[in-house]
Amino acid sequence: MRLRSLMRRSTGEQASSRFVGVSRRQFFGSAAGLAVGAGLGTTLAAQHGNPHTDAQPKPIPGGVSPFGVMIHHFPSPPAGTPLADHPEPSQITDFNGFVGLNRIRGGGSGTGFPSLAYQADMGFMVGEYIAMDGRHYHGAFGFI
Amino acid sequence: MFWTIPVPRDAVDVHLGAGRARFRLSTSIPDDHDLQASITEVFPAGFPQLAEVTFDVEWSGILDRAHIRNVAQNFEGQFLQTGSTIQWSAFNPVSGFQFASEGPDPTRVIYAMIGHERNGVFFQ
Repeated sequence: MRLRSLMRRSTGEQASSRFVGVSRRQFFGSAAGLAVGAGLGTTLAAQHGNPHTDAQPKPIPGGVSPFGVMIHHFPSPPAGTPLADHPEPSQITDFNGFVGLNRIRGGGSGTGFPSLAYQADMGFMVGEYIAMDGRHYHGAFGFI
Repeated sequence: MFWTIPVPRDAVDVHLGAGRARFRLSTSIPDDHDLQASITEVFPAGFPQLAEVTFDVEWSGILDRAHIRNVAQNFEGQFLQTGSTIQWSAFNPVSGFQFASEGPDPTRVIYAMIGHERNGVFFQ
C-alpha cells in the first residue's frame, strides 16, 4: 500500500517528499470512484449556487516534473536558503491571499513497522482567486 | 493540479502579523500505493484505495522576513520564514494499515514559510 511503501522509501532512500497524494484526477473531479475531490468540487460549485460554474483554481504555470509528469508545485528549498530566494509557494495562480509551505522530516510508527521515517511537504492557500470559469472566488486549498 | 484540494475555510488559521498559522484537517484521500503510482497514475492492482488521514500542521516563530518580487515566476508578496511542526496519522480501512507520526517536534523542520502574496493577473 502506498502509505507503507512511502514510509519504506523514505526510510531507505530519503527520497519521498510526502506520505500521501491526491491525484490530479481527483482535484479536477473528472474521475469516478475517487470521492474526495469530486465531492469537494461539487461543494464549491454548489456554494455559489450555479452547477454550471467551474470554481476550480488554475495551476501555476511552472513546477517540477518527476517521472516526466508536471506537478504545479515548487518544493521548499534546502535549509539555509535565504528566504528572498524562495520559489513560488502557491500551487494556484491568479491568486491573492495567504500561503504557507513547509518541508519536514520526522519519525513515526505503522502497522508492522515500529519505526518509520518520513519527509513531508505541506501547505495552504487562502484567499481570492480567479477560477477556471473566469470568475472571482474566495476559497481555501491544501497541498497535502 | 497535484495533491492540491479544496479544504474547509476553517481548516486554515493564519495570523501573519504574529508569524503563526495552522492547517488542521481530517479527510479521505486515495492511497495510491507508492509515489510513482500517484504521480504517473499507473497503479498496482487493487489501487487506489480510500484512506483516512488526520493532520495538524503549525507554523510559528519568526526567523526571517522578506519581500519577494519574482518576475520570472510571476508572484510578489511579504513572507516570513518560520519554524513548523507536523502531527500526522493515516488509516487504510481496506488493508488495515495505519501510521502515526511522532508528536510535534520543532527540530525536524527543514524549511517553512508563510506569507501574503499575489500572483498571475494580480501580480501583473
